[in-house]
Amino acid sequence: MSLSPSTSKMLSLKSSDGKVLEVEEHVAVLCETIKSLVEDGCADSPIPLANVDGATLGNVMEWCKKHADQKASADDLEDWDAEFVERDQGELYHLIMAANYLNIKGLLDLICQKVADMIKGKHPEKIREIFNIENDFTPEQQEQIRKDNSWAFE
Amino acid sequence: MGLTLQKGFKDPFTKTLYLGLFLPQLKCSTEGSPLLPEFNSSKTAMEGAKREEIEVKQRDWTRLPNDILVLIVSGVSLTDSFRFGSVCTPWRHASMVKHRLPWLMLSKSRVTKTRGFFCLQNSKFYQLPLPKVVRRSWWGGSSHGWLIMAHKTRGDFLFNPFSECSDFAANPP
Repeated sequence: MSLSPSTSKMLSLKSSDGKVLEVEEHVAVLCETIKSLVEDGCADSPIPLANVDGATLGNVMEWCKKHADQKASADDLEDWDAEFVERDQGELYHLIMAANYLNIKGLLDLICQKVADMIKGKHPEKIREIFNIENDFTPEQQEQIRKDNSWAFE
Repeated sequence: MGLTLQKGFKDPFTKTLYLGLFLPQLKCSTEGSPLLPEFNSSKTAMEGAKREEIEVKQRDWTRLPNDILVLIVSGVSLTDSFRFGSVCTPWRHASMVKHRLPWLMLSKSRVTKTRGFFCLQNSKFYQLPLPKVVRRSWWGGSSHGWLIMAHKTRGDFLFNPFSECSDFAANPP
């Protein structure tokens, strides 16, 4: 089966909230999950994606479209990716879950690195604040952690 | 058979003598994989405040699959992974993974009760406090986060600088 842009047909993708997105096949197959369906001839229209909401699916396909573009240079993609990940933590969370579900390694690595960069050099309290996380350690565990890591926290 | 002690090498720029590579590992994690709560699948016909509540719940960073948390933590330095592991229980489990880049162990330090280590991932020096017996021992190598040490009178032993555990070999092979 040829997946080149010139012969690419359109695929319909249906999000969890019922939105239907028309995407070129050579773009959509960047998602390994969709690629398997296409290769097995199971890509019935529209393909239901129960774990991805419409807004996130739109963002994911925007990334796939850029990365399926044969004319984009490596530098160009790097700059574009850097801008793409400038989002709030809520959007990043949904992108991680979608990239994991749709099996897009490049996107998953990109978002996870962005989250890693957001954590770098920050203290646990600040990290909890950014990602809206509750401290679930007991005071004893907290004290043990502080003791273990004291040299690293200076 | 005794341990073969390695000579180490000298950094031409800083004149620091590196003893060798050491792959730091957090406390030997014998606990099983964390029991992560199930991810809430999306529900239809949610309204107003309840919908918002569910939405926030679904954005629960503590409920990310463990392999994704591991992917995130593998992108930070060892010290940042300690901070990551101090956030909450699921993140702590994910932070107990083996680190990709080894550390360089320095031959001696300016401060007497510590030993210097150089992190290749973030290019920083760290001083780890070490007990006297370790500081007065020969370094024989390292494996799985343990330093293989040899002491004049107490014999060969293993030491983990992060858990301060040591294991003296009564009859080394």
